[in-house]
Amino acid sequence: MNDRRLRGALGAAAMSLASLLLCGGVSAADKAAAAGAPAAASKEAGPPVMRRLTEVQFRNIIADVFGSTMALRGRFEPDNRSDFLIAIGAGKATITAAGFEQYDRIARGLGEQIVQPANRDAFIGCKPASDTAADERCATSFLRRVGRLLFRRPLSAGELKTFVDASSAVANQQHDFYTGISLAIAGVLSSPQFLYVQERSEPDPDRPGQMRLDSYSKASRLSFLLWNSAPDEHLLAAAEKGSLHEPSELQAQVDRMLASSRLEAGVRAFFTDMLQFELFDTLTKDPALYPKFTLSASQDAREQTLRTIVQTLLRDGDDYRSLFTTRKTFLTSGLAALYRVRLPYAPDSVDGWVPYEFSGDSDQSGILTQASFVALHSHPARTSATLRGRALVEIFQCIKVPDPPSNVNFTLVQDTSSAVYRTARVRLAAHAKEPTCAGCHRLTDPLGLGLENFDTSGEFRENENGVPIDSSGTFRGRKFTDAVGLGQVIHDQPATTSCLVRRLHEYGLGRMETRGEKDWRVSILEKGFAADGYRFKPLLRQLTTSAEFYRTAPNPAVRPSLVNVR
Amino acid sequence: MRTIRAQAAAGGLFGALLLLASAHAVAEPQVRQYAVNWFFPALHSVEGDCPGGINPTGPQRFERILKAMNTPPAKIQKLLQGYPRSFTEEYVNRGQIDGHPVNVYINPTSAPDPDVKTSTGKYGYGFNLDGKEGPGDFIDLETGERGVDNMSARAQGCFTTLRGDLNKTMPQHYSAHWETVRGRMPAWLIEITGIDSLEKDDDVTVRTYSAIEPGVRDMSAQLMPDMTFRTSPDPRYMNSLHGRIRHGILTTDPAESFHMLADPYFQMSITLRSVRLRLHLDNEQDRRLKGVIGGYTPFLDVYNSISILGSSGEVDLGVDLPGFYFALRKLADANPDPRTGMNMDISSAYYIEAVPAFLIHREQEMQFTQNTTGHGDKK
Repeated sequence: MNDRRLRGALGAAAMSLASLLLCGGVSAADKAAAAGAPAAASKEAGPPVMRRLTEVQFRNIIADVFGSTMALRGRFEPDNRSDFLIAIGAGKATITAAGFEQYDRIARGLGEQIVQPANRDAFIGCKPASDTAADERCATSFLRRVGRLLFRRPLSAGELKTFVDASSAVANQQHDFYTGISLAIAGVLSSPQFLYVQERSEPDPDRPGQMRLDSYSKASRLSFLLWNSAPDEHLLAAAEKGSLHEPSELQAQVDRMLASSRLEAGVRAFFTDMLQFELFDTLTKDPALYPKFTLSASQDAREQTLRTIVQTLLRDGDDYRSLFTTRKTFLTSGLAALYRVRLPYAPDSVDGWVPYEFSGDSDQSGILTQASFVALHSHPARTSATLRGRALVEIFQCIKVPDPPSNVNFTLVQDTSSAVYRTARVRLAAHAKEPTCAGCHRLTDPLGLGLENFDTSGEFRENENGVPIDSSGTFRGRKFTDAVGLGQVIHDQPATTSCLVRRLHEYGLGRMETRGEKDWRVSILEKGFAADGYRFKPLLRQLTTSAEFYRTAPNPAVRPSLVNVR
Repeated sequence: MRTIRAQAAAGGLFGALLLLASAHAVAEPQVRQYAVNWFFPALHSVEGDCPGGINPTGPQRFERILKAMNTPPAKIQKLLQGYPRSFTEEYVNRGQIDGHPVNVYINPTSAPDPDVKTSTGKYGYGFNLDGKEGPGDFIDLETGERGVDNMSARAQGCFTTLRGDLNKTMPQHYSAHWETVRGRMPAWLIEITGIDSLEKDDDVTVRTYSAIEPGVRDMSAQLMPDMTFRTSPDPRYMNSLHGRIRHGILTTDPAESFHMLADPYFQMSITLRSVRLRLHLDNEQDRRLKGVIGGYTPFLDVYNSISILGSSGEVDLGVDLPGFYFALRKLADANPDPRTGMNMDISSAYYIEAVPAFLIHREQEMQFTQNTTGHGDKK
């Protein structure tokens, strides 16, 4: 059989394997779950969700199961943002035909690496009776063990048989046991059970008539929230025993996970999502006007804020609100140049990052003044008080700002060289006279204008077109005179902490809160957050050890189509 | 207030305004620190400054070499048709020593002096280094000073790729040279201390250092402003000059010597004697330091910085290298060799442009090592 025919045969096998799993595995599970569900669904809890893995989650899982040296060759489907979070968009994400080809490519590439002679013994864990023929015993052992880690639950007998049979068929056809294994594991990795985190609910014996996540779904929800990856062996074992439903075991698992260094990955993932950092992938600045904003400066800006968050919230255990006022951060040489400060000499720094504390009279104060905010929410060649203001209220205050009407004339705002309207404040004031615009601009612009001292690259400036910048404003009755004052106003807003709790809750749920869940969040979670001094780790503990976090409505009777294969 | 202080520290617009507007109110002398972005010979090449035209380049120059080598006309035509591929090793080794062919770039006196044209312009840049007005001296375009010694500019001024005009066109070769090396060699650093007033200050100090790190380019391919550099502790590359400021322009007193580590490609180091600097501190728009450094430099250093390119120097730059050597030697105007009496140094001037930077000296390194959470914006 020549190469082309072989590839065709393997491709057909993989596609049919995926189709089988798509059509057979899911619906069978649904039927089983639906059969055990109570007749009346909970009015307060939302439905279990089915979320497509993000690229980072995919990579994390592969690194966890097979090690960090595995190369993932292929493009991932772009993540979708919905209701302010990619974690929610993932619950609505499909996989296109082109996207499935890419997942298939990645999965085959991984399969080939797993069975490479240097890797196979470590990964497969058994030796076939013959290298040139199928060996069901060894294939079953490998696929059962690894499939459980990848599916975040044990494979059903049917699923396991499907993969083992596929492995055997190819092994016998190609006279190579490892080719069969390679294809079978590629099938696992391109199957919806792996690509989608599929939550399942079950009747809650402690609350008759109500539903909860089953123990495996609970483990996944916990693990993806705290570590942004699949459950590890300890968590899966607890799920398997059913002990994860016991408060003491849940508490112990949460404490273990919160104490782990892997928590940082989870916290980074949450704030990357909340702060809309995927926008960095397409962020550009006019190189002639803002030459300091290099590609590395852009990457560093993102990392600066994440490091600031990790240090403030996890290592120092500080009040979440201090993110808006802290002078402490981390800098690289490029960022120090952008902020026009001397980078301290740090011979111990192996990665170029240096801890830094801006002086008390610096204009840099809190993450709003970092380039990750002011540069991210600006245009390539000019600032945008509106974009910044909108981002500020949407991200940190959870206030939805409508999109502008389609027929708005932006000419006035965009003319930064206007001899008449020389500053953004004056241009926006003129623009906001349009009745259709005034409502939203009243909300966004005063906040965004508070950051006008930072140009579109994040570098401080005193003037615009020779006119001193006025960065004063008022938000909800609180006056501020500059960006430092604005950070303090945001720090003091009750909505700031409330919004964080809401985002975290919805990030963990993978969907928007129901009314009942919102009531619980406001009355219990937010109060607990305040009582704990607005510290992030206790908030995570409170959320993940609460039974309410795992309550659900029954499984939906019909699942959406997973793959749009035309 | 916090902004003005921070910008003044970085040598910015508001620092300058603050100094200009309130010279009497400033309590602490200002410090400004820079990294050199451009450095190349300061020339003022204008039309008509090379009587008889520019020195020939390419095939014309090759033809002259071939004729000087008594090549038959038919062969000359054939070789010219194949130029530059026909410019083979034979012509690189066209020098003669004791009847043997030798590399003419390494042994420039092994070929006859082709007597290349040199610039005769009246105006130029630099300083009156010897305090006299000589026949080959320039009038400085910026200051009007007479007797300006810059014979290096005359030697280079009639080669197309070495010509330039400070205010219009960078010299092609030297700008390409600096463009190539500035991101790969230790950055050149300038520190000006003791600035009390940009209007009138009789006591400021200019120090130059070699950095540990090379410069980093920004998106416009220039040296990134406001980067932090550690100064090299090597005393050979530290220079200190005393100066005074008048109306935003700093001029130093003559200093005995200036030495700076350069690049590993073209010129390992730059040495100037009887050196002085003139620097504009008042570029409010772009915060850049611009000016001229002048002094006497070994003419062989100037020659070697081009001859190291070998045949590329002749073919690509179009510089007749033995001719360039003889021009430099004839125009050298200082430091006579005690044995031969031949001047070994040539008066020169270089344009300097620098961007604001932060410097960390060795003693500060230790400070930071002890506490890496620094307050780097406080000077």
